[in-house]
Amino acid sequence: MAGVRWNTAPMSIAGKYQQHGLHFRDVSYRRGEKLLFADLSFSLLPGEVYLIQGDNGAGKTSVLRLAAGLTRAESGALLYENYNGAADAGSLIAYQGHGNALEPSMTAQEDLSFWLEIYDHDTDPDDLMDHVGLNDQKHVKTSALSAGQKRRLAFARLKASERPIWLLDEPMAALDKAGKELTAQLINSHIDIGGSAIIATHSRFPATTGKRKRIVLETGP
Amino acid sequence: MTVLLRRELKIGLRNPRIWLSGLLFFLLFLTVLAIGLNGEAEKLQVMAAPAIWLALLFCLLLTFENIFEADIRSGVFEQLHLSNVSNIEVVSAKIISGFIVTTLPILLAIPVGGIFYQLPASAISALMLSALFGAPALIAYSVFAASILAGQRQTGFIGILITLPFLIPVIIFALAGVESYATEGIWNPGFRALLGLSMTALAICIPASAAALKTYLD
Repeated sequence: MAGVRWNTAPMSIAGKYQQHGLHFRDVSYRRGEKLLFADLSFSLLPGEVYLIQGDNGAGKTSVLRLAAGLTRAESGALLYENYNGAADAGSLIAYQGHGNALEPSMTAQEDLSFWLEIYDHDTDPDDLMDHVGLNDQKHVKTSALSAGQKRRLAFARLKASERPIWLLDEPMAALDKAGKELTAQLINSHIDIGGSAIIATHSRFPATTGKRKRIVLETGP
Repeated sequence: MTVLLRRELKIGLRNPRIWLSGLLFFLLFLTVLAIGLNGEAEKLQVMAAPAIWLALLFCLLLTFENIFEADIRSGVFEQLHLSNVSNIEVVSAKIISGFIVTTLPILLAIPVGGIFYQLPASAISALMLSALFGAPALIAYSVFAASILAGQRQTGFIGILITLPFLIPVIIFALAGVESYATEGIWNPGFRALLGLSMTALAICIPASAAALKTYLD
């Protein structure tokens, strides 16, 4: 990655979000013996939403895990950039996998406060919980939350991380109509302040703001 | 690190099952063995130190075997990794909290076991000291086995098989230390070797476990 120089404009609060990028360069990925995809190249820029579509087992989750740096590519490179050039994944990526990463014996507020301490951000957890519509569940144990409420709490953590790139794995799964609307709204508010997202989904995805692009992974023979 | 440790302690306090099951296993093991020995005072006193050490060993191996499982399954482990928290911190927090939450109650239960086996007070304090000095080594090796087996299903006895060879010297020096405690006091060679083993085990197992967990993520 040496020699890569990106835009080096001075940082502002909005700039933290507005100047970032994630570039896949000829990425191939193999799971076991099977080559899931080869030479995948795309660039994710501020305000963009990439939908990764394809059948089960086509490698949608693998694209997200590669982007998050949680798994390694067979070949190719992933480049990350922020306001002052090449950056590491850790400062840019917020990942929402299949699990919600909640501790059952903690209350919703305690769980969120823990992550805020880990991120070292002094955001008020109550504000975040209001933002995702969990005002009444602050002191409920996360094990007692409904599937939709758990997802909301996970979104509160995504927001708390203040990372510009959201990687979402089936964010609409197990949500009712209101939950889906809220999720779309949360994604929109993230895109509107200059964030970007890669969303893995096997079904049609409701409209979001921002520039939408689509990658369809074919299931090989 | 303190943030992680506080979380672990909170979880431990809220889930009494975590420490209660270890404690009950420890006491049941000793009770069953005492019954097996027909409750004869002579036999009991001879068997007390090895019995208590075996109970401690199995107890810690079993309680630490799955120490990373819950965090890996829920996704907390990945999230910590993505938040630039080092595995060294994760492993250290697990070891310290495990010592406080699951091991201390067992150490405090040793006098109860000692009474079952009709031990004099000095023998009980020797056993408690040996457990205190040796527990870090037991914990360190168990955590190492847990980190190698992290994310695998149905590990069963593999963890015990991996760790047992490393634990044999710990038991040997612990029992030697207990025996010579009456004549040579607390800083007898057995206890000193035991402390040395514990320090070495921690120094090796913390980075080794962190590295093993990293391969799990890749």
